[in-house]
Amino acid sequence: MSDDLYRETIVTEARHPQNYGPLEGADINQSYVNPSCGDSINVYVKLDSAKKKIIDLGWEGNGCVVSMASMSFLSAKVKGMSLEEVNQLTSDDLQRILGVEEITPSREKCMMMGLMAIQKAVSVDSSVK
Amino acid sequence: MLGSQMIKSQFPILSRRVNDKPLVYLDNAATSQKPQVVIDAISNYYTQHNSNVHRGVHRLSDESTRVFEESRNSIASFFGAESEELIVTRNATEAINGVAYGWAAQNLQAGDVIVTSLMEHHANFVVWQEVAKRTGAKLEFVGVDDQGRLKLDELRQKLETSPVKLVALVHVSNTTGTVNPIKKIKKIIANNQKETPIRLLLDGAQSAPHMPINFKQLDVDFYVFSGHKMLAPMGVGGLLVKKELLESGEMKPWLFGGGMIFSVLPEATEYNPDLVERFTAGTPDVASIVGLAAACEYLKTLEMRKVEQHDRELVLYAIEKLSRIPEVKIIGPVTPAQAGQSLDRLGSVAFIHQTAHAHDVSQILDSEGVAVRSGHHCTMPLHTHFGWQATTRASFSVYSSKTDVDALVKGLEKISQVFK
Repeated sequence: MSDDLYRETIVTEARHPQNYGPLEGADINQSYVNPSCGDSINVYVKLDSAKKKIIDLGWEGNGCVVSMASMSFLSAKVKGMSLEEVNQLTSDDLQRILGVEEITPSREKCMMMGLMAIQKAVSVDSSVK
Repeated sequence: MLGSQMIKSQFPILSRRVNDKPLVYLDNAATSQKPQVVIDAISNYYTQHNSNVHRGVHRLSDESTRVFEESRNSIASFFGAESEELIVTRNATEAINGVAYGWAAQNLQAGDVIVTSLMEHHANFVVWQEVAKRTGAKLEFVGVDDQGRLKLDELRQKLETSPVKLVALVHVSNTTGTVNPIKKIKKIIANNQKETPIRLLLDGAQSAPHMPINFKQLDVDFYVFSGHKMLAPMGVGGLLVKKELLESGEMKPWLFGGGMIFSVLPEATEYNPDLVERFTAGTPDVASIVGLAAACEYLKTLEMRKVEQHDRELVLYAIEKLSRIPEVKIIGPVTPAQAGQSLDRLGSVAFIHQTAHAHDVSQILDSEGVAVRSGHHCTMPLHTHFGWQATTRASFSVYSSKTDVDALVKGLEKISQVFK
């Protein structure tokens, strides 16, 4: 399983993440922390005028290869997605994106951090509206 | 010899394979493995003697009571304590909570000061935060220096200037491996004793498995330990309390109900004058107590003096090997506090990997069959103080060997390849 997680593509993605850094003019800024290891992710989300769709996303974070690579791939995937679609993303989707067949519960938390941050961000925004 | 194949073969789980590699278990500070004699003792209790203790006239109850009492005596004797000074708990955390409910809640008032340190496990930290909240006592922290040693001057200064009633410190740190200088600490406390005595609690979760402990000679008021970290089953540990605190009633029972009573009337209940019974409410976990006694007997045969020496050698060997890996930065003491002294460190070597996150380190080590722990090891205040996000820890037991450390080092080389 771990060889699967530490393929060059994943390690490289974590080292050279996409959409990294704060996003100017973001509508939402949301942080998420994994209390078991102290890893953290901060996402910046820009929505369309109807507030139904993510049009841009930036992020910053500290964490392991799994959380950073997962967040990086995800940041590219969610651009253009509706909030409804984003809320429907699951652990299985992330495993498919990362190309990982199996993941232990403790590493699943690492993998899910980015998605949790984004889903929390858009749910906070929906509740504000 | 400790760490030998012969010792390893006495722990059935160590013959397991993980990821098609022989298991190299270096997560002993989290929990130790159990020797066959401990597993057999538990199994034998349930197959031969199981029955509730005390007040039973039939044969099994008599046997169970006898086994229970012998086991308690054996555990207390292992720690150089009297049987009455041992209160059996689930673990060190529950034991510290016992001091909070049975002692602190009865003796602390608003304005009193509790002193703990930044190197504590959450078990000896969060409990005192909560006690402070409930009693109005103030909680103060002794800091640590760059090598992870207690700043004794800070302790002295607090004792000189504040109305301190309790000092609660870890004996051996589960993160830096630092062995706190108890004699010096006791001297500082003795020099500052006032009308109301200052009580000292030692968290021995990481000292009991690695060094000889004699409660009488240690001469502290409270000492807590977890059985599962010293080859015994999970779910059993202990609180040692100085007999005078029990006899004077300064330390009171905190669990009430069956077993701990002398007589119960609708108007009032009289508690059992027998100290052991007074602090044993409800049916005890006899099988686990039997298992803990078997673990104590096993360790006694190995001799704790030799266990300590073996552990010390492994710590020094690990420091030497790990410090040759450029990406690895060892945390905690690496040179003796004073020239000519032995290194004041036991049980574990934790480190930061400069290029790989602690979770990635332990995951890749796992693929090599090497089990270590990564994260904050329940010492978040210490991690925050030093700005460590997460660390990786290798920790030892009686079956650990230099070959295990070599396997760790080899695994770390694989990490250097993945993160080149």
